[in-house]
Amino acid sequence: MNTLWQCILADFKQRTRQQSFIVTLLSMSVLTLLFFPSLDAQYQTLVINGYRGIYNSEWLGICLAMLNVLFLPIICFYLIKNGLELDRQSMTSELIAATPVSKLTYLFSKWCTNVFILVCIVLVMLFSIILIQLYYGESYQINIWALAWPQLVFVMPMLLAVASLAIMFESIKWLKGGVGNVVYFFLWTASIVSTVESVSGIGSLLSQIEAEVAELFPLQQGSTNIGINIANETEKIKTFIWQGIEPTAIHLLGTMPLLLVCLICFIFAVIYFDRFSKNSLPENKPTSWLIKTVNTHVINRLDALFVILAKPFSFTRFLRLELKLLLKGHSSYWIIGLLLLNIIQLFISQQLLVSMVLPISWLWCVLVLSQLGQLEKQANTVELITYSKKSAVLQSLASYSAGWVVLAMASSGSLVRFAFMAEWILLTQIFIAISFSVSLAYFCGAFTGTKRMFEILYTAIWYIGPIQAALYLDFFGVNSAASWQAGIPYYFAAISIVLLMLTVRAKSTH
Amino acid sequence: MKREVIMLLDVQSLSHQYQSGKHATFAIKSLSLQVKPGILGLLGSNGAGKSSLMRILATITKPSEGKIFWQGQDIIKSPQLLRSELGYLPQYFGVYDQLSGVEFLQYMAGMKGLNDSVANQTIDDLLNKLNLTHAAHLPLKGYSGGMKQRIGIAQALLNDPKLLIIDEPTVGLDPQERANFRQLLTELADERCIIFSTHIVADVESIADHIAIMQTGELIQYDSTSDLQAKVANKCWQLTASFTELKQIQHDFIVSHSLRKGDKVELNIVADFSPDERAVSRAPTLEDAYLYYTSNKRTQTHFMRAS
Repeated sequence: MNTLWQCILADFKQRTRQQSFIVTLLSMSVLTLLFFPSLDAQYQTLVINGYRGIYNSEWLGICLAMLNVLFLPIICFYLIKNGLELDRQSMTSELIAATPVSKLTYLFSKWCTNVFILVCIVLVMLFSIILIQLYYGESYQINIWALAWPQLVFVMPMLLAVASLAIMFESIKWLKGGVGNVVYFFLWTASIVSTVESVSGIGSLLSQIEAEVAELFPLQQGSTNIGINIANETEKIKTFIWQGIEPTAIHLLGTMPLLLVCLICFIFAVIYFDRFSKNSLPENKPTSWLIKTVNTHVINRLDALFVILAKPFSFTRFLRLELKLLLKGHSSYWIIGLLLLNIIQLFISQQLLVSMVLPISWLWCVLVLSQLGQLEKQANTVELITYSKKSAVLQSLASYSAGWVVLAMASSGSLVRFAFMAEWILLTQIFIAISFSVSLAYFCGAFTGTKRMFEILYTAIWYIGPIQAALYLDFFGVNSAASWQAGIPYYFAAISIVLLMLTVRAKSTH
Repeated sequence: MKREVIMLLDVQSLSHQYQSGKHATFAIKSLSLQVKPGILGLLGSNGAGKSSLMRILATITKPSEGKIFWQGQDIIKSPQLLRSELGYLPQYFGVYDQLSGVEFLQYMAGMKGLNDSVANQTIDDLLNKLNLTHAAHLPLKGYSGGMKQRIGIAQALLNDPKLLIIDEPTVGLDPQERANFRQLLTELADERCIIFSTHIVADVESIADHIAIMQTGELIQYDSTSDLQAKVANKCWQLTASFTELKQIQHDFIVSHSLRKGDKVELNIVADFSPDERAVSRAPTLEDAYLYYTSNKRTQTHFMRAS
């Protein structure tokens, strides 16, 4: 018991004494404040049939639970998916591995710390909604139980599952890094629908409130929305007094699947966690014919070509080395995948190319690009690079250009095709999309010092933008005409330049 | 009937491979070793396989082949049997830098299963012994390299280990701290096995009971310190030469030490035969033995003699 307690205590102290934890708590508090706008705000969040409840404890408690159930799994997963990584990176793992602590105790302590951190976040959010209630003054009666029980019944089981999932992702070798970050994003996206439509969770609650509003105001024909919605001038949001509900056995039963997920993930984590030992005898697989061919006929020849092209200028020589640094260590299958995507780009219909294959080709490069800007920090070569580089600006531009070349290689099928068809507008869009993607990668890497920020942010923008064609986040412009009409390409080109300038400036100052 | 001495740590035909590019390379090759109570100095150049052996003995890495018995029990099959009696200080380790020295040691004590009252008393004693009391409640992020190293030593000693494995522990310590550390090890060595890995021969010369020398994953020598020195007793020479001769002598022979004396240089040479008629025999040191067994010039001197 003492072992478990000491593990939790030390881990909790280490993780919460960092400045980033305070920033996270403040950010979550601000997010909560923003989620509850006033009636005359430019946007609204939870609107049922054109109505929202007055900001009393009952309504705020339920709304906060809905916000948390939808968005905490994505925010918190990435926030806490560093429990084991922290020990690996700090090399405390070397000391831990030689102690008698069991895998179960160690992982359970990490899970508990994850849960405590998440509970801290929810507590800050709860405190924030009390302030919101008092600030708007639509009801001054604070009902702690009404605020807290939805968090306990709907949010807590989800947090337990997220804490377990984070531990499981960190324990399984191939889910530990960037692949895991991307996989989780899609897992979360897929789970939203089932969360909203669930028969026992917030889905049923939402239906219940909708039915109640319909009963109270049968003639009302307003819209229903549980996300961020720009306020409609013609449709003024009205309020009603919602008396709230009490938790039932059905609500409690609804937590069972999440608790089961939590348990299963934890069991998987215990099974796959290597207890910080390196694999004693990695399999010595013979190199396949395909890999050999790709290495000799493609990679080596491409490098030889780059050597010749890069020879005349120090910048191009620098660029070749930066490119090599980015691509080294990635599986040859990644290159094969890139080649296949380029071949597909040449022969597929333009509609499918623009809306699907080209964005997928860029996503294929996310784990390569995420290294930009932070390689020196990860490899602990900052001091060596700083004293040896001729010009910080030159080095920054070479790094940026290397990222650009990677994405250009991923889009080369499309570039050739559009150039041949004289599709200059689409070519311009590709150039802007590549510039934005690389600038964002470089900016995230340089300012956070980790790969994670870009892997998450880019995947999210990529999904909502080019894939779901949300106009303001579509950095490529899948709906070309609409995008140009709204000036989106100019907007992303400007962002790319600003991000690049900020990053180069930061790198030079270092 | 004479009672047989119990071997505390018995390593049998240990081998460990790792992947190096496309090839599997031996980090340790068929290594057998019996460790008795006292200090065993493990010597070897960088890359000789010392750290790999240490990680295996500390039950962190599982070896590819071989067996390790602790008090007669197989610790590859049941590593937990050793872990509660083990103190380990790896060559590279980290700390939770947001915690204070005391908090970190309390954490490590918890991991080793110590109860609070015993742990707190031990932590106070160790901080005092290692001259860290003044910084005990300061965050570890403010500690110097030497202070962090001493925290590492303290965590290894928390559970009063029967087997203490320390990998390059004197790196980052100043001469005074190194001397204190050697003194501490000598005090601890009575009833426990201490394996002290280093490539600085002077660190183990005065305190080790036995010396094991590793080279390219193999154990090439294992003997008591005095016996090992005795093995090279008739191979140690002292020669005073001019600077013009120095380059050639360094090329031909193992020079374990050189001391400038005016326009001459006094050289300690290790060779199977007298390197020069001016050379005189001298007392051997552990460094002479280490260099003799690990240097490739040894075979060269054999060859020169034959030719």
